[in-house]
Amino acid sequence: MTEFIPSTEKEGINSTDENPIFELAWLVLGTVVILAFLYASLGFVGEKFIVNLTPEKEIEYFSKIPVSKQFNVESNARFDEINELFKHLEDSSLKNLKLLALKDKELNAFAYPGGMILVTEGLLEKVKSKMGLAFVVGHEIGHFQNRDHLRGMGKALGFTMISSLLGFAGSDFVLSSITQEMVANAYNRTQEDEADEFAMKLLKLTYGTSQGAEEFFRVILSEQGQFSKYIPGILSTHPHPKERLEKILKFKR
Amino acid sequence: MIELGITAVLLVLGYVFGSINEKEHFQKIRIREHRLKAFPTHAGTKTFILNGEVKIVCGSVVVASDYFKSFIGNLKSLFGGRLTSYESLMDRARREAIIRMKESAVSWGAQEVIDVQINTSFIDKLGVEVSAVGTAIKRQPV
Repeated sequence: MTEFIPSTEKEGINSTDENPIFELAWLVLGTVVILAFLYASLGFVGEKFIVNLTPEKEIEYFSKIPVSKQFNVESNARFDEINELFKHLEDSSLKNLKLLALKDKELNAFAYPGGMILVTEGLLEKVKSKMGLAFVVGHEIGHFQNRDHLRGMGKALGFTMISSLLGFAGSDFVLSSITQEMVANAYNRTQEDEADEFAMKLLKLTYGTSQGAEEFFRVILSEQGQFSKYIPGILSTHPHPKERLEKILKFKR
Repeated sequence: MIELGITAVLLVLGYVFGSINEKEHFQKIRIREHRLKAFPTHAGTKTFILNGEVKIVCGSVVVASDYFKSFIGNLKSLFGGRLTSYESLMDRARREAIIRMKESAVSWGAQEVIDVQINTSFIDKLGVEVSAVGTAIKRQPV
Protein backbone atom coordinates (compact mmCIF):
# COMPACT_ATOMS: atom_id res chain seq x y z
CA MET A 1 0.00 0.00 0.00
CA THR A 2 1.38 3.36 -0.99
CA GLU A 3 1.27 6.20 1.41
CA PHE A 4 0.60 9.91 0.87
CA ILE A 5 3.41 12.04 2.25
CA PRO A 6 2.49 15.70 2.68
CA SER A 7 5.05 17.98 1.08
CA THR A 8 5.22 21.35 -0.58
CA GLU A 9 6.65 22.09 -4.00
CA LYS A 10 10.37 22.74 -4.12
CA GLU A 11 11.11 26.14 -5.62
CA GLY A 12 13.38 26.83 -8.55
CA ILE A 13 12.84 23.59 -10.47
CA ASN A 14 10.11 24.57 -12.85
CA SER A 15 10.92 28.24 -12.84
CA THR A 16 14.11 30.19 -12.45
CA ASP A 17 15.07 32.86 -9.95
CA GLU A 18 17.44 34.51 -12.45
CA ASN A 19 16.71 38.15 -13.11
CA PRO A 20 15.07 38.41 -16.53
CA ILE A 21 16.69 41.82 -17.07
CA PHE A 22 20.04 40.14 -17.79
CA GLU A 23 18.35 37.78 -20.17
CA LEU A 24 16.74 40.72 -21.96
CA ALA A 25 20.08 42.52 -22.15
CA TRP A 26 21.71 39.52 -23.81
CA LEU A 27 18.83 39.04 -26.21
CA VAL A 28 18.77 42.70 -27.21
CA LEU A 29 22.53 42.70 -27.69
CA GLY A 30 22.33 39.60 -29.87
CA THR A 31 19.50 41.05 -31.89
CA VAL A 32 21.33 44.33 -32.40
CA VAL A 33 24.42 42.47 -33.61
CA ILE A 34 22.34 40.42 -36.06
CA LEU A 35 20.48 43.50 -37.31
CA ALA A 36 23.69 45.47 -37.68
CA PHE A 37 25.13 42.65 -39.75
CA LEU A 38 21.96 42.49 -41.86
CA TYR A 39 21.98 46.26 -42.28
CA ALA A 40 25.58 46.27 -43.45
CA SER A 41 25.18 43.39 -45.88
CA LEU A 42 21.82 44.55 -47.22
CA GLY A 43 23.25 48.04 -47.56
CA PHE A 44 26.16 46.67 -49.55
CA VAL A 45 24.03 44.52 -51.84
CA GLY A 46 21.35 47.21 -52.10
CA GLU A 47 23.91 49.78 -53.11
CA LYS A 48 25.16 47.59 -55.96
CA PHE A 49 21.61 46.87 -57.03
CA ILE A 50 20.34 50.41 -56.87
CA VAL A 51 23.22 52.13 -58.61
CA ASN A 52 22.85 49.72 -61.52
CA LEU A 53 19.12 50.33 -61.91
CA THR A 54 18.11 51.40 -65.40
CA PRO A 55 16.39 54.80 -65.49
CA GLU A 56 13.10 53.11 -66.45
CA LYS A 57 13.26 50.76 -63.46
CA GLU A 58 14.25 53.64 -61.24
CA ILE A 59 11.13 55.56 -62.18
CA GLU A 60 9.01 52.45 -61.75
CA TYR A 61 10.28 51.78 -58.22
CA PHE A 62 10.44 55.30 -56.90
CA SER A 63 7.09 56.39 -58.24
CA LYS A 64 5.71 54.32 -55.37
CA ILE A 65 6.99 56.98 -52.99
CA PRO A 66 5.23 60.00 -54.44
CA VAL A 67 7.24 63.17 -54.09
CA SER A 68 4.19 65.29 -53.42
CA LYS A 69 3.47 63.25 -50.28
CA GLN A 70 6.80 64.12 -48.74
CA PHE A 71 7.41 67.60 -50.05
CA ASN A 72 5.36 70.61 -50.90
CA VAL A 73 5.99 70.90 -54.63
CA GLU A 74 4.33 72.53 -57.64
CA SER A 75 5.15 73.39 -61.23
CA ASN A 76 6.73 76.71 -62.04
CA ALA A 77 6.60 78.80 -65.23
CA ARG A 78 10.30 79.62 -65.02
CA PHE A 79 11.22 76.10 -66.04
CA ASP A 80 9.83 76.83 -69.51
CA GLU A 81 12.81 79.15 -70.09
CA ILE A 82 15.22 76.27 -70.06
CA ASN A 83 13.33 73.67 -72.10
CA GLU A 84 16.10 73.76 -74.67
CA LEU A 85 18.51 72.30 -72.14
CA PHE A 86 16.97 68.86 -72.57
CA LYS A 87 17.18 68.82 -76.36
CA HIS A 88 20.89 68.18 -76.61
CA LEU A 89 21.22 65.44 -74.03
CA GLU A 90 22.84 62.28 -75.35
CA ASP A 91 21.13 59.96 -72.92
CA SER A 92 17.47 59.85 -73.98
CA SER A 93 16.30 58.79 -70.50
CA LEU A 94 17.47 62.15 -69.16
CA LYS A 95 15.02 63.91 -71.47
CA ASN A 96 12.13 62.71 -69.34
CA LEU A 97 13.35 64.36 -66.15
CA LYS A 98 10.64 66.38 -64.46
CA LEU A 99 11.21 69.81 -62.99
CA LEU A 100 9.36 70.87 -59.87
CA ALA A 101 9.54 73.85 -57.55
CA LEU A 102 9.93 73.06 -53.87
CA LYS A 103 8.24 75.46 -51.47
CA ASP A 104 11.28 76.41 -49.47
CA LYS A 105 13.12 79.66 -48.89
CA GLU A 106 16.53 78.05 -48.77
CA LEU A 107 18.68 78.21 -51.90
CA ASN A 108 19.07 74.66 -53.08
CA ALA A 109 18.22 72.07 -55.71
CA PHE A 110 17.97 68.29 -55.52
CA ALA A 111 18.21 65.32 -57.82
CA TYR A 112 15.33 63.21 -56.52
CA PRO A 113 15.24 59.48 -57.33
CA GLY A 114 12.47 58.68 -59.76
CA GLY A 115 13.55 61.27 -62.34
CA MET A 116 12.68 64.52 -60.62
CA ILE A 117 14.66 67.68 -60.14
CA LEU A 118 13.47 69.84 -57.28
CA VAL A 119 14.47 73.50 -57.25
CA THR A 120 13.56 75.59 -54.23
CA GLU A 121 11.40 78.66 -54.70
CA GLY A 122 14.07 80.64 -52.88
CA LEU A 123 16.50 79.80 -55.63
CA LEU A 124 14.00 80.51 -58.42
CA GLU A 125 13.49 83.90 -56.88
CA LYS A 126 17.12 84.87 -56.39
CA VAL A 127 18.66 83.37 -59.52
CA LYS A 128 17.03 85.59 -62.10
CA SER A 129 18.75 84.84 -65.40
CA LYS A 130 18.00 81.97 -67.72
CA MET A 131 21.67 80.94 -67.81
CA GLY A 132 21.93 80.97 -64.03
CA LEU A 133 18.96 78.66 -63.70
CA ALA A 134 20.13 76.51 -66.60
CA PHE A 135 23.41 75.93 -64.79
CA VAL A 136 21.68 74.83 -61.59
CA VAL A 137 19.39 72.44 -63.46
CA GLY A 138 22.30 71.27 -65.60
CA HIS A 139 24.22 70.46 -62.43
CA GLU A 140 21.36 68.27 -61.20
CA ILE A 141 21.07 66.57 -64.62
CA GLY A 142 24.78 65.84 -64.18
CA HIS A 143 23.99 64.01 -60.93
CA PHE A 144 21.39 61.94 -62.79
CA GLN A 145 23.82 61.23 -65.62
CA ASN A 146 26.42 59.99 -63.13
CA ARG A 147 23.80 58.12 -61.02
CA ASP A 148 25.02 60.10 -57.99
CA HIS A 149 21.50 60.53 -56.70
CA LEU A 150 21.19 56.77 -56.16
CA ARG A 151 24.48 56.28 -54.34
CA GLY A 152 24.06 55.95 -50.62
CA MET A 153 20.50 54.74 -51.15
CA GLY A 154 21.54 51.17 -50.45
CA LYS A 155 21.70 52.11 -46.79
CA ALA A 156 18.15 53.41 -46.97
CA LEU A 157 17.14 50.12 -48.58
CA GLY A 158 18.74 48.12 -45.77
CA PHE A 159 17.02 50.35 -43.27
CA THR A 160 13.63 49.77 -44.90
CA MET A 161 14.03 46.03 -44.89
CA ILE A 162 15.06 45.90 -41.25
CA SER A 163 12.22 48.21 -40.29
CA SER A 164 9.79 45.90 -42.01
CA LEU A 165 11.31 42.97 -40.12
CA LEU A 166 10.67 44.81 -36.87
CA GLY A 167 7.15 45.65 -37.96
CA PHE A 168 7.66 49.37 -38.51
CA ALA A 169 7.21 49.12 -42.27
CA GLY A 170 5.13 51.75 -44.00
CA SER A 171 5.10 53.96 -40.96
CA ASP A 172 5.77 57.65 -41.44
CA PHE A 173 8.96 57.16 -39.48
CA VAL A 174 10.41 54.87 -42.14
CA LEU A 175 9.16 56.91 -45.10
CA SER A 176 10.54 60.14 -43.76
CA SER A 177 13.87 58.49 -42.96
CA ILE A 178 14.19 57.31 -46.53
CA THR A 179 13.39 60.67 -48.03
CA GLN A 180 15.63 62.42 -45.55
CA GLU A 181 18.39 60.11 -46.63
CA MET A 182 17.68 60.99 -50.25
CA VAL A 183 17.86 64.69 -49.66
CA ALA A 184 20.59 64.85 -47.06
CA ASN A 185 22.60 62.41 -49.13
CA ALA A 186 25.69 64.52 -49.56
CA TYR A 187 27.76 63.89 -52.65
CA ASN A 188 31.47 64.04 -52.40
CA ARG A 189 33.67 66.74 -53.84
CA THR A 190 34.48 64.83 -57.02
CA GLN A 191 30.82 64.15 -57.73
CA GLU A 192 30.00 67.83 -57.29
CA ASP A 193 32.86 68.92 -59.52
CA GLU A 194 31.82 66.44 -62.17
CA ALA A 195 28.23 67.68 -62.02
CA ASP A 196 29.47 71.28 -62.38
CA GLU A 197 31.57 70.26 -65.33
CA PHE A 198 28.65 68.43 -66.92
CA ALA A 199 26.49 71.53 -66.52
CA MET A 200 29.11 73.75 -68.16
CA LYS A 201 29.46 71.40 -71.12
CA LEU A 202 25.69 71.15 -71.48
CA LEU A 203 25.32 74.94 -71.45
CA LYS A 204 27.97 75.30 -74.08
CA LEU A 205 26.34 72.62 -76.20
CA THR A 206 22.85 74.09 -75.86
CA TYR A 207 23.42 77.80 -75.97
CA GLY A 208 26.84 77.96 -77.57
CA THR A 209 28.13 79.75 -74.51
CA SER A 210 28.36 79.28 -70.76
CA GLN A 211 28.26 83.01 -70.11
CA GLY A 212 26.22 83.78 -66.98
CA ALA A 213 26.41 80.28 -65.55
CA GLU A 214 28.04 81.56 -62.40
CA GLU A 215 25.07 83.62 -61.23
CA PHE A 216 24.07 81.03 -58.66
CA PHE A 217 27.47 81.17 -56.97
CA ARG A 218 27.48 84.94 -56.98
CA VAL A 219 24.06 84.92 -55.31
CA ILE A 220 25.25 82.47 -52.65
CA LEU A 221 28.41 84.44 -51.99
CA SER A 222 26.50 87.69 -51.59
CA GLU A 223 23.93 86.00 -49.35
CA GLN A 224 26.73 84.57 -47.28
CA GLY A 225 28.04 88.05 -46.64
CA GLN A 226 24.71 88.89 -45.02
CA PHE A 227 24.73 85.78 -42.86
CA SER A 228 21.61 84.65 -44.64
CA LYS A 229 19.60 81.86 -43.14
CA TYR A 230 18.77 80.57 -46.60
CA ILE A 231 22.04 78.89 -47.46
CA PRO A 232 23.35 76.62 -44.67
CA GLY A 233 21.99 73.51 -46.42
CA ILE A 234 23.97 73.95 -49.56
CA LEU A 235 27.12 74.92 -47.68
CA SER A 236 27.03 71.77 -45.59
CA THR A 237 26.60 69.40 -48.54
CA HIS A 238 28.63 71.05 -51.29
CA PRO A 239 32.18 72.33 -51.73
CA HIS A 240 32.59 76.00 -50.99
CA PRO A 241 30.89 78.17 -53.68
CA LYS A 242 34.03 80.26 -54.10
CA GLU A 243 36.02 77.19 -55.11
CA ARG A 244 33.28 76.05 -57.44
CA LEU A 245 33.07 79.51 -58.96
CA GLU A 246 36.82 79.58 -59.58
CA LYS A 247 36.69 76.15 -61.12
CA ILE A 248 33.93 76.94 -63.57
CA LEU A 249 35.53 80.24 -64.49
CA LYS A 250 38.70 78.31 -65.25
CA PHE A 251 36.66 75.82 -67.24
CA LYS A 252 35.18 78.62 -69.32
CA ARG A 253 38.61 79.70 -70.39
CA MET B 1 12.13 56.98 -32.85
CA ILE B 2 8.66 57.32 -31.30
CA GLU B 3 8.05 53.61 -31.79
CA LEU B 4 11.25 52.77 -29.94
CA GLY B 5 10.25 55.08 -27.10
CA ILE B 6 6.85 53.44 -26.81
CA THR B 7 8.46 50.01 -26.80
CA ALA B 8 10.84 51.06 -24.03
CA VAL B 9 8.02 52.49 -21.92
CA LEU B 10 5.92 49.35 -22.40
CA LEU B 11 8.90 47.19 -21.47
CA VAL B 12 9.47 49.10 -18.25
CA LEU B 13 5.76 49.03 -17.39
CA GLY B 14 5.57 45.33 -18.21
CA TYR B 15 8.61 44.54 -16.13
CA VAL B 16 7.58 46.59 -13.09
CA PHE B 17 3.96 45.46 -12.93
CA GLY B 18 4.75 41.95 -14.13
CA SER B 19 7.32 41.30 -11.45
CA ILE B 20 5.25 42.90 -8.68
CA ASN B 21 2.33 40.70 -9.67
CA GLU B 22 4.43 37.60 -9.93
CA LYS B 23 6.09 38.15 -6.58
CA GLU B 24 2.77 38.66 -4.82
CA HIS B 25 1.24 35.69 -6.57
CA PHE B 26 4.09 33.37 -5.63
CA GLN B 27 3.81 34.49 -2.01
CA LYS B 28 0.09 33.75 -1.92
CA ILE B 29 0.67 30.41 -3.63
CA ARG B 30 3.25 29.39 -1.01
CA ILE B 31 0.97 30.26 1.88
CA ARG B 32 -2.02 28.40 0.43
CA GLU B 33 0.09 25.42 -0.64
CA HIS B 34 1.35 25.18 2.90
CA ARG B 35 -2.20 25.29 4.27
CA LEU B 36 -3.31 22.48 1.92
CA LYS B 37 -0.11 20.51 2.31
CA ALA B 38 -1.68 17.61 4.15
CA PHE B 39 -4.56 17.17 1.72
CA PRO B 40 -3.93 13.98 -0.28
CA THR B 41 -3.91 14.41 -4.04
CA HIS B 42 -3.04 11.77 -6.58
CA ALA B 43 -2.38 11.98 -10.25
CA GLY B 44 -3.17 8.35 -10.94
CA THR B 45 -6.23 6.20 -10.39
CA LYS B 46 -5.85 4.71 -6.99
CA THR B 47 -7.70 1.50 -6.39
CA PHE B 48 -10.10 2.18 -3.62
CA ILE B 49 -13.10 0.62 -2.06
CA LEU B 50 -15.73 3.20 -2.35
CA ASN B 51 -17.81 3.72 0.66
CA GLY B 52 -19.00 7.25 0.15
CA GLU B 53 -19.41 9.93 -2.54
CA VAL B 54 -17.30 11.09 -5.49
CA LYS B 55 -17.40 14.33 -7.39
CA ILE B 56 -15.39 16.02 -10.11
CA VAL B 57 -13.53 19.02 -8.76
CA CYS B 58 -11.91 21.58 -10.98
CA GLY B 59 -9.53 24.45 -10.44
CA SER B 60 -8.93 26.75 -13.34
CA VAL B 61 -6.87 29.86 -13.68
CA VAL B 62 -6.19 32.32 -16.48
CA VAL B 63 -2.95 34.28 -16.26
CA ALA B 64 -2.07 37.10 -18.60
CA SER B 65 1.40 37.55 -19.94
CA ASP B 66 2.95 40.99 -19.71
CA TYR B 67 4.69 43.02 -22.40
CA PHE B 68 8.10 42.30 -20.95
CA LYS B 69 7.58 38.54 -21.02
CA SER B 70 6.15 38.62 -24.54
CA PHE B 71 9.01 40.79 -25.74
CA ILE B 72 11.59 38.37 -24.38
CA GLY B 73 9.54 35.54 -25.87
CA ASN B 74 9.59 37.16 -29.30
CA LEU B 75 13.33 37.69 -29.19
CA LYS B 76 13.80 34.11 -27.99
CA SER B 77 12.06 32.91 -31.12
CA LEU B 78 15.13 34.15 -33.02
CA PHE B 79 17.66 32.32 -30.90
CA GLY B 80 15.82 29.40 -29.34
CA GLY B 81 16.47 28.18 -25.81
CA ARG B 82 14.43 28.01 -22.62
CA LEU B 83 11.57 30.45 -22.45
CA THR B 84 12.32 31.19 -18.83
CA SER B 85 10.08 34.23 -18.70
CA TYR B 86 7.10 32.00 -19.55
CA GLU B 87 8.24 29.19 -17.28
CA SER B 88 7.49 31.20 -14.18
CA LEU B 89 4.13 32.16 -15.67
CA MET B 90 3.25 28.52 -16.29
CA ASP B 91 4.56 27.49 -12.88
CA ARG B 92 2.30 30.02 -11.18
CA ALA B 93 -0.70 29.02 -13.25
CA ARG B 94 -0.25 25.30 -12.64
CA ARG B 95 0.25 25.66 -8.91
CA GLU B 96 -2.66 28.06 -8.61
CA ALA B 97 -4.91 25.67 -10.52
CA ILE B 98 -4.02 22.76 -8.21
CA ILE B 99 -4.63 24.94 -5.14
CA ARG B 100 -8.02 26.01 -6.45
CA MET B 101 -8.95 22.42 -7.18
CA LYS B 102 -7.93 21.38 -3.68
CA GLU B 103 -9.82 24.31 -2.16
CA SER B 104 -12.90 23.31 -4.06
CA ALA B 105 -12.53 19.72 -2.81
CA VAL B 106 -12.01 20.86 0.77
CA SER B 107 -15.02 23.13 0.69
CA TRP B 108 -17.12 20.22 -0.50
CA GLY B 109 -15.84 18.15 2.40
CA ALA B 110 -13.67 15.67 0.53
CA GLN B 111 -10.83 13.82 2.18
CA GLU B 112 -8.76 13.37 -0.98
CA VAL B 113 -8.63 13.92 -4.73
CA ILE B 114 -7.55 11.23 -7.15
CA ASP B 115 -6.87 11.04 -10.87
CA VAL B 116 -5.74 14.64 -11.17
CA GLN B 117 -5.12 15.89 -14.69
CA ILE B 118 -3.71 19.20 -15.72
CA ASN B 119 -4.60 20.86 -18.96
CA THR B 120 -3.28 23.97 -20.65
CA SER B 121 -4.83 26.13 -23.29
CA PHE B 122 -3.92 29.47 -24.76
CA ILE B 123 -6.29 32.35 -24.92
CA ASP B 124 -5.34 34.15 -28.10
CA LYS B 125 -2.06 35.91 -27.48
CA LEU B 126 -3.21 37.29 -24.18
CA GLY B 127 -2.41 34.61 -21.70
CA VAL B 128 -2.73 31.03 -20.65
CA GLU B 129 -5.39 28.96 -18.97
CA VAL B 130 -4.38 26.05 -16.79
CA SER B 131 -7.01 23.78 -15.32
CA ALA B 132 -6.63 20.96 -12.85
CA VAL B 133 -9.42 18.38 -12.79
CA GLY B 134 -9.70 15.48 -10.40
CA THR B 135 -12.10 13.16 -8.65
CA ALA B 136 -12.84 14.21 -5.10
CA ILE B 137 -13.73 11.49 -2.62
CA LYS B 138 -15.88 11.97 0.45
CA ARG B 139 -15.74 8.88 2.61
CA GLN B 140 -18.62 7.97 4.88
CA PRO B 141 -17.61 7.64 8.44
CA VAL B 142 -17.39 3.90 9.16
